[in-house]
Amino acid sequence: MTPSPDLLLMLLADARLPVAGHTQSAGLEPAVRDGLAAAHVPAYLRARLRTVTAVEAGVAVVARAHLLDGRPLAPVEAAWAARTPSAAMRRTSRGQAKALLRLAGRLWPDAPAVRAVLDTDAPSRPVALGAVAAACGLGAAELARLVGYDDVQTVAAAALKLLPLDPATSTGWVHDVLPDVEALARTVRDLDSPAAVPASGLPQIEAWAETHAVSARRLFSA
Amino acid sequence: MTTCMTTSTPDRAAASRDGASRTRVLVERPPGGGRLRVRTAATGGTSRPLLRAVLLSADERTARVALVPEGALLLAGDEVAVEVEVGAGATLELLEPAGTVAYDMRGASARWDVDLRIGAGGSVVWHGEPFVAAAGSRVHRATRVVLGDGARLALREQLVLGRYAEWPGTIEQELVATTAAGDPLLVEHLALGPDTVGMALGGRRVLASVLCLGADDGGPAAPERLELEGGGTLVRATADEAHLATTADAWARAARAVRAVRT
Repeated sequence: MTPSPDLLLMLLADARLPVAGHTQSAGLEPAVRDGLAAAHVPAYLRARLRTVTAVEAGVAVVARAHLLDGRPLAPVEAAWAARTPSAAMRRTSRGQAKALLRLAGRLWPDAPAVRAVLDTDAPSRPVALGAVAAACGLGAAELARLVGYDDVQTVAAAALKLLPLDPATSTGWVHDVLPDVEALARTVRDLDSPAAVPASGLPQIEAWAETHAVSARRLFSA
Repeated sequence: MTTCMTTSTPDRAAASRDGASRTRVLVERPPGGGRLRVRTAATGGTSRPLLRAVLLSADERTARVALVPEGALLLAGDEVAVEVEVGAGATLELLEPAGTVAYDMRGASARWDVDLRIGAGGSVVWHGEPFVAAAGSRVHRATRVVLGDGARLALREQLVLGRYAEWPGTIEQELVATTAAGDPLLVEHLALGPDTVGMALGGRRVLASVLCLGADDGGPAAPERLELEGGGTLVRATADEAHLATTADAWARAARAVRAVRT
């Protein structure tokens, strides 16, 4: 019997998944260093969901669709790269994809989607996530929710290490932006073509990512 | 009784013009050699075009054209479309005599569309001046760039959200740069306005950028320098005042790299 999408989502969204999620702050660390306070974190979460995370979720959904139909991935990767002007952010994404694909290769070794992405050169994280969704039968909306939720939880968990906070506060932030995650999923769930992927950027987040990449003092890799 | 007040917002109703305006610039190398052939055209609505292309000079390699506003820009309902086509091997320098202010649109909006096609081995150096979105303005700017083989572009832009000590206006800016085959080089949509400048620009109101495509400007690695996947760079600076947004060095390098004579 195939596990339900609910259980698969729990597995993939679990912080205990061995994909080095604890090394990521989703850009929060350089933001905090530049003066972002706890009170700004909810706005930071929403800003990401509307911009860089929308790009990631859109690419993941389109990658999943391309993998399910056997369409080529190169245009999907090109769309992602053209929408990710920061080289530091592209490096981070590719590093995360590597960790995810190592796991996916063990869990779904025969899935054509996983094999196809393992065969490509330096895939991005959303393309790897698209492959995982295709391999385990996760729908486009579930995949988009996973991308949004993971980004939010990554920020919230990093916030606990960077800012003086009660964990119930940061969990409250996550809870309060769930409607925004849902809205993101509605925006991208039906995307099919690389050109249709959102391209919303956030210059400040891109600048922070670049600054952080060359910083010698950091807790998180990105 | 009505009181006549001096206002910095020009009165749109009095002009009663249709806001659509189309400006075209075509630069070609004549097959037989000699000076570049430059054609410009501008069509407007009921009264006049909003932006006139004025040829400043042309020689065998390079044409210089200024985009000169005729009357007040940019008001509610205005739709400015600029189409630029540069043929193979030609170089176009585009100048703007002054910055542009988008005024309070009182709930309405305006558009500013640029289509730029650069043929194989052609170059464009676009000396953009500040684009100021005054409080209450709402402008949709779309720039589409198609680069032929070996084509090069240096594009300077400066978006200013609000005049001095003023609430920001709203700019939706879309940039799509592709190769002639349609492969994307840079696709970016920025939503800048009162609700978003805090996160988008770190609370600052000026975003200056220098985009260099198809040429290596040789600039030093720096956090404000984004190295694009398909080659080329986007250098950005944010600031509280337009004159403090420091992209002058990056612009000098990009313009030099794009103008460089090919060997």
